[in-house]
Amino acid sequence: MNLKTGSLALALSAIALGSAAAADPGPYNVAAPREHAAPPPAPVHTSYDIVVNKFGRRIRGSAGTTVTTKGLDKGNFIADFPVDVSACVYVATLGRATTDGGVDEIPGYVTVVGANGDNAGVYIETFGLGARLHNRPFHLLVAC
Amino acid sequence: MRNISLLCIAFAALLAPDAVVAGGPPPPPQNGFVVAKGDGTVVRSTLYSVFHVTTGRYEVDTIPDIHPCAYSVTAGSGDSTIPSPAIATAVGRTENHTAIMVATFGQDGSYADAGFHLIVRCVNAQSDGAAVVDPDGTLVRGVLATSASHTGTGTYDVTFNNGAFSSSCAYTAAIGLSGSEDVSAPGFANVAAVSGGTIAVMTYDKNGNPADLGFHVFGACNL
Repeated sequence: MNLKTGSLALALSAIALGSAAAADPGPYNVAAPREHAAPPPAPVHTSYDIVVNKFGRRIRGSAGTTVTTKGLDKGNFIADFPVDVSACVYVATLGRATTDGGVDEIPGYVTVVGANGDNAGVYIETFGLGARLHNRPFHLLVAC
Repeated sequence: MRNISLLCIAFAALLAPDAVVAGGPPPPPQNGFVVAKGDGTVVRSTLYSVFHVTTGRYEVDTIPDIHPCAYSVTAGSGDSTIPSPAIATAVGRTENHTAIMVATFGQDGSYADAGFHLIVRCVNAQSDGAAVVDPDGTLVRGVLATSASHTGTGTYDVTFNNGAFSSSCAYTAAIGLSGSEDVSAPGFANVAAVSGGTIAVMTYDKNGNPADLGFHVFGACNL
């Protein structure tokens, strides 16, 4: 392939790429990715996250994260991470866990503490404004 | 000459996918943060803008798709002003993947304007600062945190080794314990800057009264 032919091929390929992008704007409003990759092994000062709906279902979050409400009272959740988080910091916020957005989450309270007997777990309690336990969706960040 | 022209076209076309983004999907998710006043004025952010929709409701807009992300929001001020107690929640805006709706409430549960710190985490990344503080002000553990102190009922100072932490970062807090053998009383936390690397965290009980409660605080200074 001489330079002239090669240039033409490159140009056509590149134009095709551009045209394809222009013709198809892509999946703008389809379900968003529900997981992102784990950080490199043994990093320092790493953060993880998980987003959970009021039914205790993990909607998205860091790879390897899970949540359970099995055997727990209303408003209680245990989120598990792929690493020991007993020495980490947990910050939770009440917020809808929908993929395509939604209405404001009503105010309430959320508390965090390490899960007893589970070094990879965080115990979350969610409350209504009356301070009674209610199942509420939440977003949780963990920094180690 | 023709070859040069073709190469120019190829180069331009290679740039084209970026150029068409304006009319297509937003860029991939990216971490970020914003600190805003109660009137929606942005105090600092990672290219986020804030629109004060109505009392206690704010639309936070950015460029990347941030619906696959996790949001952490806490009512508070970006400077040393101690805000009135307020609760904040966050949710992705319906049908708009580059926007988050933040709502702020007074203690009675009605919408009320309040400043807030919002941290968006889309990909795992290093933390820029975090701390776990007991009700008596003891710094139990943290990330780049150097000290904590109890300055009054329900008020704490936390210092990080980044000397610009209070003025260049966003910080969110949640009520919680440092151990794993108990559960915390419900309540909420607000935040404010102090100076240098020091921030203030205010903790309130379920009635909105200052109360000594343990908390976890998380800071983001970079993407």
